[in-house]
Amino acid sequence: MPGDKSGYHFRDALRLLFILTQGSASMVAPDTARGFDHVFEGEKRAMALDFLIRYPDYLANDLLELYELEGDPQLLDAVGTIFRDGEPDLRVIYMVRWSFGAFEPLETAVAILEARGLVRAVKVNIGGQDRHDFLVGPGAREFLERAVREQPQLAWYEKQVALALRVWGKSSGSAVKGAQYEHPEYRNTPRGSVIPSIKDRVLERFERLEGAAR
Amino acid sequence: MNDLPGGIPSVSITAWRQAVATRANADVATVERVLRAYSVEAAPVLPRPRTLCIRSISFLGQKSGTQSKGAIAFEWNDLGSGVWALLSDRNLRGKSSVLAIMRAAVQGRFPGEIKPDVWLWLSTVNVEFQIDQTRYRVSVLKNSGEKSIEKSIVRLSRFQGDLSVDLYSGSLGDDFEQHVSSLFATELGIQPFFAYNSRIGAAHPHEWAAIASALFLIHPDQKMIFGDNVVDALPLRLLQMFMGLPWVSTHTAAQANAKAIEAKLEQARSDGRRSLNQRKVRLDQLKEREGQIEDGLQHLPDRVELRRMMAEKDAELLSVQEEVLAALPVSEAAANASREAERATLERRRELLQLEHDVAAGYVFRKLRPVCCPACEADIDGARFKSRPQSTCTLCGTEAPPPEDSGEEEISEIRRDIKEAERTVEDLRRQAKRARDNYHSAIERRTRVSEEIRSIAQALSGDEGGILEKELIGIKARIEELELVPEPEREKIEYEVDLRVLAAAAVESKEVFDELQRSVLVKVAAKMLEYSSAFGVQNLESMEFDQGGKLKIKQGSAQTFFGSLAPGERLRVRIAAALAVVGVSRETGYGRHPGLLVLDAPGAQEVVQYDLEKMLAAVSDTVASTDGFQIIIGAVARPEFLDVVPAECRKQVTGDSYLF
Repeated sequence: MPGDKSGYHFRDALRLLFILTQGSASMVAPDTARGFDHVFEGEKRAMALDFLIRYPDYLANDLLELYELEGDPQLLDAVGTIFRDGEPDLRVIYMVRWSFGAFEPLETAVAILEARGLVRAVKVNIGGQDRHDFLVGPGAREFLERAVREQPQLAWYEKQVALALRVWGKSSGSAVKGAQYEHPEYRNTPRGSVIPSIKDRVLERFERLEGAAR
Repeated sequence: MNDLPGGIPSVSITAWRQAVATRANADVATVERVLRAYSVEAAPVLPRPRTLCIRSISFLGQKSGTQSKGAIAFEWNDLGSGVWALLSDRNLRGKSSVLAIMRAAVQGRFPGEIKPDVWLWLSTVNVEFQIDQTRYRVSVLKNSGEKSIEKSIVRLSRFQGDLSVDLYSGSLGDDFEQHVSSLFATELGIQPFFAYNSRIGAAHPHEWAAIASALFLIHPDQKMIFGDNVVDALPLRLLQMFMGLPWVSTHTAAQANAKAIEAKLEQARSDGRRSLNQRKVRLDQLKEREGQIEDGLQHLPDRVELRRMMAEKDAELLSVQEEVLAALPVSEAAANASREAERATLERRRELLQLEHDVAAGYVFRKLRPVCCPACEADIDGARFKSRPQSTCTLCGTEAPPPEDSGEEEISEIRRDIKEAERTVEDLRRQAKRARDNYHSAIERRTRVSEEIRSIAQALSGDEGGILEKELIGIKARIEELELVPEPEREKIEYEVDLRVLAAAAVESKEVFDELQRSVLVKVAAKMLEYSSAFGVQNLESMEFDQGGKLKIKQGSAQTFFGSLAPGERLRVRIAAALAVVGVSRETGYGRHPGLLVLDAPGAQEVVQYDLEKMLAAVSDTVASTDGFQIIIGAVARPEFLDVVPAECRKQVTGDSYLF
């Protein structure tokens, strides 16, 4: 909630690193000198995926959408876990809506990651428009493995990012964000206000689909 | 009452009315009103004897439908008092028709006893009769072959000297009969008299035509001494009237009307009893149903108890509703408090999780040394970490950076907070549950009480008990109504006074003439005995009128009655009775018998076996000694008649000839 304490920089940096690492693809020309072989394309995409990690109920809704398309029971199980573990209440990290939707600057987290040589932010020009990409490499992957090994509770982020990518894959930031705008609760949130939960509605949908699946 | 000489009672009309009033326990005005209403007239006057005799009879006509067709004509003139005979050698030669025409004229009733074929033949009829010194004539003109009396013309004329007056001129029928009746009522002093007829249940007057029938003995099988009508105690009334007793008409009118009222009252009583009986039957039915319903209701819920319960449940519902209203905000407040605490706890747990993740992330991150500056991204020399004391940051040089486990302390603190918050939440949940339970319990009670009220209302309104109870109310009302209604009025009040007055008038008038009647009847009976014996009735020992005017005869030591006599004997006694009444009347100076007797066929087979000559001689002697008595006899001609009835007093055809 608005009372959310800012300053959990390491947590935020780690969450972002999971996103950037898991959402990256191999580079055509790896920077072997600096140890970066994968690239995560688009800051907007990173922010849109981050919103789904911060709001497990929105992620749950996207998983149900996909379930309705594919009928993969693992998707339904994943949603069940989200609700069973109370994630929409306990894991939510509220965001304020600004002119372009949910937004929180990534600079601090990126600085923490860059200072440790885990990520390198790069600016590329695509069709005349600048885009911020993030380079990651074996250092980051090894770091995350170690982190999960040493601090198992952090594995949740890995799992959550995997689920978000199961839904959205390589979709652009605009596509992911556009889907979020489909939710009236999100769309209608006044600027400067915290984006509300859609937990009850998604839970109801989940129970209905789960009931139908039995 | 003062007796007149000769034992004849006398009472004034005023005294008589007073006596009636006293006996009836009414005032005189009431007596007068009632007597007037029922046409009961005080008749204290002794009537003067009058005489009626046939003076002539003639008729013309045209025979048809028989073997001897042609004109008919009959004429018999100059009749007067004494014995007159209408004779033919054979029967069926027209005697009865001549006598029937006489009777029709005297009664004013055509065709009367005239045979239909003879009536058709007739075209002109003239009958003259005389009352005392005044002569009258009845002239009928009709077309021969015409049956209808409406198409006949009749004239009733009176002759005094050379002066003749038409008293009536018109068609035959009721009007003419009324005129004749009126004539005789006036001339003979004979008023129509009332008699009660049980068949029609009313008193009705007997007109002259009925009275006149007593003068014509033309039916051989007649069983009455006077007249040919056995109904309405007519023979006794005729006898009383012929005897000329005072107050008789008063008595008969009062008695006949009293009887009519009694009959009416009896009918009303009978109706009343029937109505009473019907009411009793209905009451019994209603009471039986009342019992059934009350029994039935005993096996059904007590409706009084149900209503009491309803009131109780109403009050309970009100109370429970208040509980519901009071419990709701308590429950909501407790629930809100619980939810708020849960939310706060959840928030704290979320905070804890975020912190833990941050600490965990910090733990792994701190193991990495910065490789470049976060600001300029310039590479950091590894020697830099060795030149700095551990109490300062390698990059920014900040003194005493937070120990790596500083988060742990905060985590512990939050965990303590959470535990405490969870206890609070637990408490609040319990409180909220209690409040909620209270609320739901109140709701449940309210639902239960509402349900009870609904079922009681249903039991009270729609069930068998309700229907029965409503029916019971109706039945009780009807029973009460039937028990309250008085017995049907028997018209008692309306007729009571009338009946008392009329009964008293009958008694009072009878008392006046009763003694006189007895003495006159004794005289009449004595004369009848004398004449009857003289006329040939054998072995007569005594004759006596009983209270009802019935003639008791002792014949050969045996008690018998007039009706039981042989036909020939009845004829003799009947002649004797008429002569006796007239004879006594002539002796006493009062009476109403007009001294006319017309007999048909006394010489018929049943009479002839007796000594007809002796009888006729005796009759003739008696008639001769009875002033102003005319007897006309129609009979088959026998030699005996020729000796007894002078030639000028006979109208006779011989051989097979017809009288007309």
